[in-house]
Amino acid sequence: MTAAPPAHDNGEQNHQQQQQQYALVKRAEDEREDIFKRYELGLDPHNVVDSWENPTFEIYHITDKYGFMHDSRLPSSRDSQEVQRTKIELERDKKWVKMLNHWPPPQDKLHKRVYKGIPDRMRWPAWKQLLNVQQSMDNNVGVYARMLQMAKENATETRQIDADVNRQFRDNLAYRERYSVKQCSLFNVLNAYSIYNSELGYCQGMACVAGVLLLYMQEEEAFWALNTLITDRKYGMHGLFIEGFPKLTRFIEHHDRILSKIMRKLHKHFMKHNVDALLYAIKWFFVVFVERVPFSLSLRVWDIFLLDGDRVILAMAITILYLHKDELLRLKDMDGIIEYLQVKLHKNFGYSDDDAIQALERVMKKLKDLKLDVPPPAKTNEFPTRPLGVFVAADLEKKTGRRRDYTDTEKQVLTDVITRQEQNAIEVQSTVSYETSECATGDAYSMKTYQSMTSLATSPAISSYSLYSNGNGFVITGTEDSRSQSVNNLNYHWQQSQQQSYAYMQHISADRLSHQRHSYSSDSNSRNRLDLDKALEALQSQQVQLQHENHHQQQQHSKRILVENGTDKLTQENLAKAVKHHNEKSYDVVIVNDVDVDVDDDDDALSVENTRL
Amino acid sequence: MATTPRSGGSSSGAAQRPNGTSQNKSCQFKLVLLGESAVGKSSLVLRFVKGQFHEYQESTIGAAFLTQTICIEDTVVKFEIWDTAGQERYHSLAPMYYRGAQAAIVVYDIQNQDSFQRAKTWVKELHKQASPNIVIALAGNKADLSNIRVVEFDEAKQYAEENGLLFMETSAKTGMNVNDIFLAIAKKLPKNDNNPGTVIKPNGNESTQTTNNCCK
Repeated sequence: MTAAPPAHDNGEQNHQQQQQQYALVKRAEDEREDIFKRYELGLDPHNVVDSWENPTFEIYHITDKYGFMHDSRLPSSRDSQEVQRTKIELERDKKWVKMLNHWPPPQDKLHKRVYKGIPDRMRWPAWKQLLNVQQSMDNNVGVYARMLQMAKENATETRQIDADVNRQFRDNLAYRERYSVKQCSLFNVLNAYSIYNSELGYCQGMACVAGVLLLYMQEEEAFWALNTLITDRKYGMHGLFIEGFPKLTRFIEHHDRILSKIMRKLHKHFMKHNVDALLYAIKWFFVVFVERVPFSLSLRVWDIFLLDGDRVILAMAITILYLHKDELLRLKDMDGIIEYLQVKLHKNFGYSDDDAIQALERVMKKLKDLKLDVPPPAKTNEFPTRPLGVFVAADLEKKTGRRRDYTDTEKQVLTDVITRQEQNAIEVQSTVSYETSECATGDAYSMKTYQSMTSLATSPAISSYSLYSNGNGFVITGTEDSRSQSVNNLNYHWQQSQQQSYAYMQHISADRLSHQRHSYSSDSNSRNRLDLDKALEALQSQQVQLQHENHHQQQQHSKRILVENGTDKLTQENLAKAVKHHNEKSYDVVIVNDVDVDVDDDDDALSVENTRL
Repeated sequence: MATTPRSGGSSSGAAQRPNGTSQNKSCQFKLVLLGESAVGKSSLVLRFVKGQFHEYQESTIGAAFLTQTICIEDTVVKFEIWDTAGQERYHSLAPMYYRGAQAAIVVYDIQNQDSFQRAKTWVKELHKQASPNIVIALAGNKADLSNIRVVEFDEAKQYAEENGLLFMETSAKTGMNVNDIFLAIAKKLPKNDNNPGTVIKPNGNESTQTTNNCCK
C-alpha cells in the first residue's frame, strides 16, 4: 500500500480496501493450491492439460504464415533474406494503406505495386477493392442472408459441398478442425451461391476458390467476391465451371496454340508422350494455380489475376512451362511429366516468388507482342443466361442426384475432347513422319542421320515404308517421295537385317483387332502400340493379297504391299499406332534427330536470369 | 536420350527378345477409377501406389495420373492409373480416360447406398461404351467402417457375379484388399478374353502364353 489514508477519512473506505486485500490474498492462495494440486495429480488423466502445453503440439512450429502446416518444423530463426523481406513488406504496408484510402489509384502505380506483391496484411482490403466487394454488398443488402436461407430449404448440391468442405485445405489451421468457423463459412458460401447462380450450381474447384477468398475475408464478403470472379467478364469463371466447361476448352486450345508457336520443342515433347494440356492445365485454370505451385506464389498470381483478369492464367501456364522446360524435356514418360507438374512444383517451385513473377511479367509482354495474349472471344455459353438471385426450383433428377444421360452439351464436349486427342496423335505422327522423311530426302542434316543409320544397320538396306488406309484394308508402300504424304500417311524407317524383306500379312482374329481398336487411345508409351516386330507378325498373320514392287533407289529397298481384306479392317488408328511405335523405335538409332535444334523456338526472347533457389 | 516405349523404369530391361521368346515379359495396362465423389478413389490409388493414406485427400479436379508396377510370376505389369473426378459434372470428361482402358475399378462406399447405385450406372456405361474386353472390378471401399455399412457384402457380390466383375471390399485406410484387387485385375488381364471360366491358376503357366497382345 502507498501512503496511509488521511486521518479524517471515514471508516467505510478503510473497510473496502481491507476487503479488496483479502480477496487478492485469497485468490493468490487458491491459485497456489490449484497449481500444487495439478502437480500432485501428475499424469493422472483427470489432470486437464491445454494441448499447447504438450510437446506433441507441434503445430506452431510447422505452420507457416498463411496457416498451412508442413511436414517438418520451419526454421526457428529467420534468415537475413526473410528479415529483409519483412522490412520491405512493412514499408509496403504503409504505401498500401495510403493507396487504399485514396482509391482508385493511378493505374500504373497500382500495376507496379500489385506485381510487386500485395503485402499479406493488405490482401483483405486490397482484394476487396479489386473485386468490388463493398459495392456488391451495398447494392445487395440482405441478399446473402436470403440465399443462405433458401439454400437451407432447397439446395441440391449440399452433399457434394459437404464432401468437399471436409477435405478443403485441411492442412490449414483455419480449416483444420471439422466444423470450424471457416469450414462453416465455406459450406454456407457455396450452398448460398448454388442458389444465387442456379444455372452454375456447384462445381468441384469452386470450394478451393472460395476457400482462398475466405482466408482473407468474412463470409458475406467472400460470397460477393466469388460472384465477381464467376460472373464478371474480366474473370469469367462461370464458363470454366458450367456444364460442358466451354471456357476450359477455349483456353486449352489457346494454350496449345501458344505452346506450338513459342515452345515448339516442348509442345512436340508433350505430344510425343501424350501429355495433353487437359491433364495438367485443368486445375491450373480452375483454381488459378492453388495447390499446384507453392501457396505464397499462388497468392502472388492471384494478386495479378485479380488486377488483370483471366489472360494472366494463360500467361502463368506458359511461364511455368517455360521456367521448367529443361527439366520437362529430360523427363521421358508421361507419368514423370505429370508428376512433375502436379506434385513436384507444388512442393518446390525452384524459383523464388519474385523471380517467377518477373518471368510472368516478361511472358505477358512477349505474348502481347506476339498478339497471343488474348484468346479468341468467349461465346455466350460462358456467361449466365438466367438472372442471378432468382430462385429456380430444381427438377426431380437434380433433387435426388440420380445419374442422367449425357446432355447434348456434354456429348459435344466429349466429341471435342476426343477429336482433339486424335488430332494431337495424328499431328505427332506426322511430325515424326516429316522428320523421318527428311532423312530420306537427303538434306544435309538428315543425311548425317541417314548415314549413321546405315552404318548402324546390319545390312546396308533400309526400307522406308508408309502406311495408309485404302478403305478396304491398308497399303504399305515404299516411299520415294515421303514429303508428299498427307497427314494420314504415316511413314517410318525401318532397318532390315535382311537384304530382301517382304512383309506378309495374314489373318488376325477379330477380337484382337477389336481390342486393338479400342485400346488405341491409351497409347502413351503403351504396350498397345505394337512394336515393329509385333506389327509385322500381325500383318504376317493376316490373309492378304500381297503386292510388292521393289524399287531400288540407291541402296534403298522400297516395297509396296497392298492388303485387301474386307472383313477385318485395321483402322487407320491402328496403323497410326503401329507406325508410331516404329517411329519411336527408330529413335533409338535416329536419336540425333531429336536434338532438333528448335531454331525458331523463340524462348530466348523470354530469357530470364534464372536465379535458382 | 530417347527410351523405348516400355522401358519406363518398370520392365526389367524390357526383356530382349531373341527370336520372339522371352524370360521376363512386361505388360502395361491402362486402368481407370470411376465412382461417385468422395468414395475413396484417390485414396485407393494413393494406398496402392505410395502405401500412404491421407485422412483429407484433396478432391480431384479433372483427373490424376499415376503409375505402379507389380510382378506376377514372370511378368512385370505396369499400371497406368487414371484417377477421375467423381462429381457428376465431370462425367462428360470420363470417357476420355476410360477410352482404351483395359481395366476399370468402379468404387463405391459401403456406407452409402447411392454410391452403390452410381457404381452400377458406371458399370452399365462401361459395358456400353468401353472396350468390350475391359476387366472391371467393383470395390466396396471404406470396409474398415463395416459396422456401419449400408451396402451388404452379399448384395454387391451377387451383383458383381451377375455382371462378370471382380469384387472385393477394400479399405484404403487400413490397406485391406487394396493390393489384392489390383493383383486380381492383373491376373485376369493377360488372358483378356470374355470367358469367365478361364481364370489363371495361381501357379499355372498360362500367363507365359503370349497369344494375347498384352505381353510382348
